Amino acid sequence: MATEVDDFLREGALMPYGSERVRLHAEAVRVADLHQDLEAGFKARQQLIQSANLGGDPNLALVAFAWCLGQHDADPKRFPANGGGYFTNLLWMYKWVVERAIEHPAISRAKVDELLADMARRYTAGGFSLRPVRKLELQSAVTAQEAERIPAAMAEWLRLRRDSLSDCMACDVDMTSAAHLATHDLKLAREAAKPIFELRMTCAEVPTVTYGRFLLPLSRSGDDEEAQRLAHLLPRKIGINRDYVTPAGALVVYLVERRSRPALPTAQRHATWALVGETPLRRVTLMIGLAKASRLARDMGRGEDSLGILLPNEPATSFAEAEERMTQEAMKVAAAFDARNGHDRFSSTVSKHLAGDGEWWWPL
Amino acid sequence: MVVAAVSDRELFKVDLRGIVDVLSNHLYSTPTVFVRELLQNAVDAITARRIVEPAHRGEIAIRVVGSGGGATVTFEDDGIGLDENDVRVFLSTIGQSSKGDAPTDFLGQFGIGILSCFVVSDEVTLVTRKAGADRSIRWVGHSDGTYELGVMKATAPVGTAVYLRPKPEGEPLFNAETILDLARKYGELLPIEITFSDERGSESFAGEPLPWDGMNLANASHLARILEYGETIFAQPMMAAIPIRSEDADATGVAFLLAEPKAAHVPDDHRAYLRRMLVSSNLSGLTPDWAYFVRCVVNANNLRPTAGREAFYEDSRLESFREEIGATIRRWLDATAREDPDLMAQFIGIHYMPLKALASQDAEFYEMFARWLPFEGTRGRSPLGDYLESGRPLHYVSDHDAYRQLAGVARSLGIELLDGGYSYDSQLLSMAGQLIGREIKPLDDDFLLKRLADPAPEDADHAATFMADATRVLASFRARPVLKEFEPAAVPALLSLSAEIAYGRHMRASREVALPLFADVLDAVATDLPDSVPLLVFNTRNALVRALFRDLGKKRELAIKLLYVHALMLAHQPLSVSELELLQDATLELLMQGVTVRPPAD
Repeated sequence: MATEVDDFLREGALMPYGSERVRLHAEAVRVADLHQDLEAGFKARQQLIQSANLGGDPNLALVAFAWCLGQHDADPKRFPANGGGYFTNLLWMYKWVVERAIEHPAISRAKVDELLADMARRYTAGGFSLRPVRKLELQSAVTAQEAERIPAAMAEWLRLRRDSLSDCMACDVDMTSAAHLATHDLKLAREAAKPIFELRMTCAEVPTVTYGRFLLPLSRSGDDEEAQRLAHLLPRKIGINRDYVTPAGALVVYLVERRSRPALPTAQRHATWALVGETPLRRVTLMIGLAKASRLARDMGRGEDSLGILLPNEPATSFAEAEERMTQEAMKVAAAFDARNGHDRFSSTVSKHLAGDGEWWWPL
Repeated sequence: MVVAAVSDRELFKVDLRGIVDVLSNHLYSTPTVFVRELLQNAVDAITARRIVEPAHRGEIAIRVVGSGGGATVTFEDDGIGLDENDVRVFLSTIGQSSKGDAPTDFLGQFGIGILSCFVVSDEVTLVTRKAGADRSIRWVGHSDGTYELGVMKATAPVGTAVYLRPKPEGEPLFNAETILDLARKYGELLPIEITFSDERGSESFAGEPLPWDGMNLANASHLARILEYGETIFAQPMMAAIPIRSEDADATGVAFLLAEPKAAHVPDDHRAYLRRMLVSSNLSGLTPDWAYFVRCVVNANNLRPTAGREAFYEDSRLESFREEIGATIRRWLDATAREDPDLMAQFIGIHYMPLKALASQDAEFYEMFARWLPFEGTRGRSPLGDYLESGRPLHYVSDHDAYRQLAGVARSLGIELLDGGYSYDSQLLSMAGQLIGREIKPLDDDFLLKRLADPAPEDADHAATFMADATRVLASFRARPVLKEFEPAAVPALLSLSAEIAYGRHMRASREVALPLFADVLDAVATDLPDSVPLLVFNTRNALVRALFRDLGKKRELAIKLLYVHALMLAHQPLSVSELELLQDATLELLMQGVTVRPPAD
């Protein structure tokens, strides 16, 4: 049995991040559970959390993390928090979980605050800096479009010391640039992101997420050359990894607005990512992109062309059928966030994007 | 603020040691690059001399005397040479390049190449005479930032000789074997002959055409020779070679197809030359990501190197070159599929996994390869084309356990069932309808309900109270009973499990151990799941099931629970805590009650 679990883990580790890697690690968990081997189940779930988080299935990562943390608290010696590497460290993975909780409108702000408080308690107990906690608080302000909170949150984050649980420099620079974009300061955002654009800083997700975030603001500001360069680089960077659903959405919007030849094929390639997989926040840009692509297809007389299968077990949907659906789904996500946050900024922004008036400071 | 008196403008002072530290720790990945830099300077000097003397052939000589701390390594060329002014400007001024206004003719551009010598040596001696000059210059540079410059009494040959003695950290590199290996590694494809000599003798290399120049792969001996070359440089067996050419990058080369499978995550190690000087023997990013199965050797004259000249700068020309290589490989695969099916089958047999990954994301590749790709199913492991040509309805399931459960049922129904439990298979099978016009449907609940036969009316009547009990009992497990008749009769019940249902089970397992803090969070994300209820499909042809149609009171309830758990175990699904308890309690109760079940006499 232990061999079979390890075989699935090893085979999964050979795959690039994406749905196949997640599937193989989920199989490892299933085999471990089948044999009631809790230690093997703990080890397999740690790998699954990483694969699912970086492979576009954050719900699965969260489910596995909840199991691991519960086991750890029940028996810390048997299920230690530190697995010997960053990505098998529960405290490290807690960052991912809270990040996704912030991006999920069904999880209340009060619950997010509870998670942050629990995370802070564990970090303090372990002697670690609270820098990651403060970074997530900044992230919360950015995703909620609450620009008034951003400067203080950023200052509070940056003043804290870095340690082994802090994100890498590339991720921190990416967050800094995102925060400047959220306050509509493209100049400062570009300045902050310079090491990333010069490829002096990279990591698992950077520069892909950075390119995706800057594509539309740069295009809107008139920097067509740089926007075109990013649009050229993004398809290869995105590949088949659902984790990059937001850059994929930005790319679809960009290509559609330019009526570029790859616009409709790009929409078709990523259509299955719009309604399942990543968090609603990450998917809403693609929903907007697909609504716009559908409108373009209709204008080109290609409304009956197939956009693709939007949900498993559904037949393929045409562009014409998808336009209204994607518009409604995007507004539904926006309404859910507004209900959680107590204001209407999301609905207002998404409406503008769907109408073509948005400035694309958000979603990021 | 009051500003005090301002000084005259002063020059930045440069700490040579600091610069060398930057080079060795941040620019160059290895201290051995001094060999490349000195070869580069020699090639550039000869190139410069050929501009004024087109007939000049040029030679580079490397000599090693001694080894370790007592060694001297000499790099000598008969290129253009330097005069006193050149030495002051280009050698003693950091950042100044001698390559003037025609950088594309030269390998070096950054004017810091000679400094790489200070990574391994505290003293660099250079003796040079410029073509057309009658004076020879001797320059000695020191790692403390000082240098001496003087005119020699003796007349040196036209060209330049660089003499190095190692500092302690450089000693391991200063021996004949290492210097020769490095010179060959960096310079074996240079167009200028290099002669290496030490106390034992001398040998020459380089100065030849590129190994793939004039290659005609239709000629068997050419092909054998080039495959042998590929196998030597990459230390792996190769099955085919594809010529590469790019006008824009002014590049030629070969893409070798590996004869053994390679995992997607292992980085590429292509070999790249820039104007015939080695850039890297483990370069990644030269081919599209999907081309796991090739190793390339290329020489480019028109790609831009990074500052350390150990990679190519990621610009639009490199991107275009990468796309051209991808297009070349695709054309070869397309032609091979049409013209050499045996070679294609061999290729697929080795590399089907990356091809499946590729086909899953690229419609064109899917259309090209889908029929060749192997799948497991009721015909065994066969190319999809064989399944498509069988003429029978095709279905797939998404995991091995569902396949094991249903393969027998599928055969009895005359259906070809494919096991989509392997990497990418489910995704590929689901795409068949859209991309090659042949629908391969998932074997889902809908199939089970529609294709499996309904029970005979009299059986349905007999089973009415059984079904009422089953509905009630299974509701507590969020499952629903269905009655059908199917082969094989030995299977009492099948459990339908979609990905959504499996996810729901995963969620419930986590809830059983999760902290209260996470219970609400799990509830919140559970709303993302479509509401799916697993079906427990009872088989009226099974003796045990038929026995349960009789009125057995509480024992029937226990038996239904056990059949549910049995179906879970047959589907290799982990049991939750409550299901384990059920198994234990139900088994114990049946044992206590002494159940006897005889098949009905019919």
